[in-house]
Amino acid sequence: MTTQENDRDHVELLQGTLDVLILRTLLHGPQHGQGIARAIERTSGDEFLIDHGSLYPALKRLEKRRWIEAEWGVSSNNRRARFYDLTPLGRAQVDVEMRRWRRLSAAMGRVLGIEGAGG
Amino acid sequence: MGRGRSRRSDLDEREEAIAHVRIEADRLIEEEGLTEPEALSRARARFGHHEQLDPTDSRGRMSFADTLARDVRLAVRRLIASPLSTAVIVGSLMIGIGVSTAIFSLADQTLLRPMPVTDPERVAQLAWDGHWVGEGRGWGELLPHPLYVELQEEQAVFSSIAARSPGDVTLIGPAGSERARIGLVTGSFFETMGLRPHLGRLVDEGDDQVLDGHPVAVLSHAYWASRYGADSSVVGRQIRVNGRPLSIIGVAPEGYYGTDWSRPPVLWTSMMMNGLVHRWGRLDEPRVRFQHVYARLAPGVSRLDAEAGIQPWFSRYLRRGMERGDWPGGLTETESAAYLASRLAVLPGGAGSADRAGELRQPVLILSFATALLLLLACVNVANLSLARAVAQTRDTAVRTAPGASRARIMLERMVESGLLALLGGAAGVALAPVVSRAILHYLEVGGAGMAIGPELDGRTLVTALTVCVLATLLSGVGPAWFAASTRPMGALRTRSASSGLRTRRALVVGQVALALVLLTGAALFGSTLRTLRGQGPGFETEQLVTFAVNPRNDGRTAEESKRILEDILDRASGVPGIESMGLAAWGMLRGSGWGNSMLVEAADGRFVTPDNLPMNAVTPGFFDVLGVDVLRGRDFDAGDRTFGDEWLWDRVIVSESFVERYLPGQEPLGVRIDFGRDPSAAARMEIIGVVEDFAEQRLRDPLPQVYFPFWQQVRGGATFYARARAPLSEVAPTIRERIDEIDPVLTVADVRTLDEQIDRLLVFERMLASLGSAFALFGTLLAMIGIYGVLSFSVQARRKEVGIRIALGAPTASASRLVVADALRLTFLGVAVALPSIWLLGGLVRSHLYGVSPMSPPQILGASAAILLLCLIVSAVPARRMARTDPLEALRVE
Repeated sequence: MTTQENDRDHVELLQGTLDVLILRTLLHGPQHGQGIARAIERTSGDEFLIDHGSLYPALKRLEKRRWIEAEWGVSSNNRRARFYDLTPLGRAQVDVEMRRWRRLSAAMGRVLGIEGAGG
Repeated sequence: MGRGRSRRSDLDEREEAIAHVRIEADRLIEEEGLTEPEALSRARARFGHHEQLDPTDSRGRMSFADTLARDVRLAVRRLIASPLSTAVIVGSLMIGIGVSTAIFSLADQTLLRPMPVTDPERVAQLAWDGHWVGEGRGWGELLPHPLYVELQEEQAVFSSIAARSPGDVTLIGPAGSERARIGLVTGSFFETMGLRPHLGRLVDEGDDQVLDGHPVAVLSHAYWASRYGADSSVVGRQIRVNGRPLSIIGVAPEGYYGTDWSRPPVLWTSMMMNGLVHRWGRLDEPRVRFQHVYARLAPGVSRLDAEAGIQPWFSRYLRRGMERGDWPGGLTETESAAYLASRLAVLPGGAGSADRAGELRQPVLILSFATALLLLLACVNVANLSLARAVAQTRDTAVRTAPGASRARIMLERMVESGLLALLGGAAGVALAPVVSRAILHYLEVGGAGMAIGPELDGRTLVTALTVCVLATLLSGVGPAWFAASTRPMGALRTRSASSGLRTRRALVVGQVALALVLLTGAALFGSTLRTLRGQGPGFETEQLVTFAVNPRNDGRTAEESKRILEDILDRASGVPGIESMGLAAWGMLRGSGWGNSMLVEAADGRFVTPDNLPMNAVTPGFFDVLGVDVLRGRDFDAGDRTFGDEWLWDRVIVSESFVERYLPGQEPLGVRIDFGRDPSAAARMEIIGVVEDFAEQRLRDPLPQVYFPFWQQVRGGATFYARARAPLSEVAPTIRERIDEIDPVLTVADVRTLDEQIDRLLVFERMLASLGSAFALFGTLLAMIGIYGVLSFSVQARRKEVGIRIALGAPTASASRLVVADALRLTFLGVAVALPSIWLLGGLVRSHLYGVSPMSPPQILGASAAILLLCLIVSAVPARRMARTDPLEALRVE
């Protein structure tokens, strides 16, 4: 299964980063799987390429923790799709996760000597 | 609960994945300008080969039940999404399955279903297979009582042998006087059938000893329940049959209807009581055939063994009769050789032997065949529509195939859809079947009420309906399923499926047209037969001719009394206001049966016996006048033709015009002497005194040479009265009944009807075939037209671009319409070409039921073809108009 995407140079996602990206994306409102993936890709300036094969297990994981919930709906181009939304629990979790990542990325920046990486 | 939820979420995930691929593909098309196949394939690749997308993967968690449940939901969604095509498919199947279930139910009940007796497969029926000489009074293929008696004494291949004979009697029971059918049975009958009484006892050997000495009656369960309210104290009571009291000894088991479903007897009595029913009243006459003989095969003996084993005895029986000289006598060398070569056939008897089963076999066979055609047509229609659906859903299928659904999966999905449709159609069909049955029974019941068959569907029939359903699913579903499964995502998506499956659909439509044409031609042939028979009529004016039957002997009167009563009735009823004239005949006319015999003719150029049995009757003076039949030569019978000895003989006869043409061409018929054809060497004892115009006496199709005897010379039983009336039957009938009551209030007056009604009854099969044939042809044609319409509309859609270009280049719009019409004509002509050989092949099946028309009769075939062509043109009008309206710009943009 060689595809064109593999030819481009993308930034690999770090283990465990997908969850927070999903939660963050859903702050804007309910979205279906493809929409979430596309939003992450777009806001990352197409640096990240979401592996769809890991997107759904991640969504399932978050659903299980009751941070998100899903419902069938119709997409903007009239396709039936499953829409995900943050639960109140999830909304609170976004803050927790964001804080954790800021700390982590600041620490990484300091170690690697990259200016302005902290926050 | 937990299991249920996880199952649902598995299904959701799969659908979600598919939705994802679609949405992603949409985006790729929109944002990156990819073509649809490229977009889909990339979207699928991006998604990765996820196990959820491949349920056939052994690691997949979806069980078969899950898959099936999912497929059913999917199928339901698809069916709801296209309600019109779903409705047409279900409707087609409903008609196909409903009609075939109904016909099967009737065929099963009339021809196949075994009698409710012990081990029906061990019951055999004996039949004379060969030459029957001269006059054997009796009905059809029946056997004489002495054969039964002698066979019983001398054989070893049967464990028991029994004989039965039906009789129509006047019966006086708790419900008053009524006409009813009873059964005369030998003492071994119930034992041979292996039946046990519901109450009391059945007729047994003890009731089979002395002629006229066993006035016993075994009631049928149905009669006992309806007339006696299932009163168990009925045993020992009396019931009067033809004026004679019989004591009730028992009640037959429930559900037992005798050997003839068409006329179940209300009671059975001993064969020794034969004199109650039959005029001749003698059981020792080897030439009187009136019994069906049944036998139970001895253990270990097969039917064919039994047949082989019985022949030596039968040869001896035939020879013995000739040697004794009682019967048959005076045979020529050839005749006796033919007679002695007769065999006794041992036939399967487990299904009984309805008098009407023989008559029904052919019509039922024809109907079954027409039904099979209709069912096939329905299936082809469904296949055609399913294929159209499969094609319409090609892209959907491709989307599903793209994420990795296997061919087997797609095919299963399709079969589930077909199965669901067949199930819906089948359920509707089973609901329709009793309605169809009832309509058919409505025809049959005119002939005789109280048949032991009904419109209800039994287990066997439902199983058959289910089988038909499965068959229909396979027949109509496999093709489209295969088509769907072989869809290649890339190819299908790229070509936009413009002409996919169209060739197959066209072939199917040709088949539909051919089947419809076969049905239409059949309907035209049967319609023409009915019209010819009706148009030709019996050869006399039937309008305002009313008839009723009286048989004083059956009401317990002697032969002498009987004669006087008939004279009185003729005398008084003739005076009823509204009656112009009245005559009577010994046998009712136009009943499809009657009296027939070969005749010895002493022509000027030598004596001979007519090779055919001629229809004959005994009639009163003035009878021909009542019918409006002219006496062409000589004279009518008159008051001088009175009593003539004791023997069953007359001294003068009137013959028909055709009799003279056929047997006495160019000769003076008056004064020619004739006799029954029994003994060609004896002197003929009757003289021709008159010649009348031809008319049909027993059947409309009969040969017209006929013979009439003077009624009053021999009065043995009853008579049927014929009256030319000025008033309707409903007005004259009560007055006639009053006059008869004045003469003898005990008399039963039967069969009060007009002659037109009588002809309706006579033509029951012709009417049934004509009207059911038309209904089948109508449905068939409708289905074929739906098929043509579908294919034409589809090809209009497919050719829009081509036509758009043509029109853009300046071709007249009419040429576009012409394309469609030409296409329709091509399909129709092909269908006609396929149908012609089929009609030729099927001709043999229907030939014997046609009259005045051959199976390949050009007017009917041309008419049917023209009808189909015309309908095709009409049907093609809508797609043709749509084609002509093609807007070139829009057509080109569609792509």
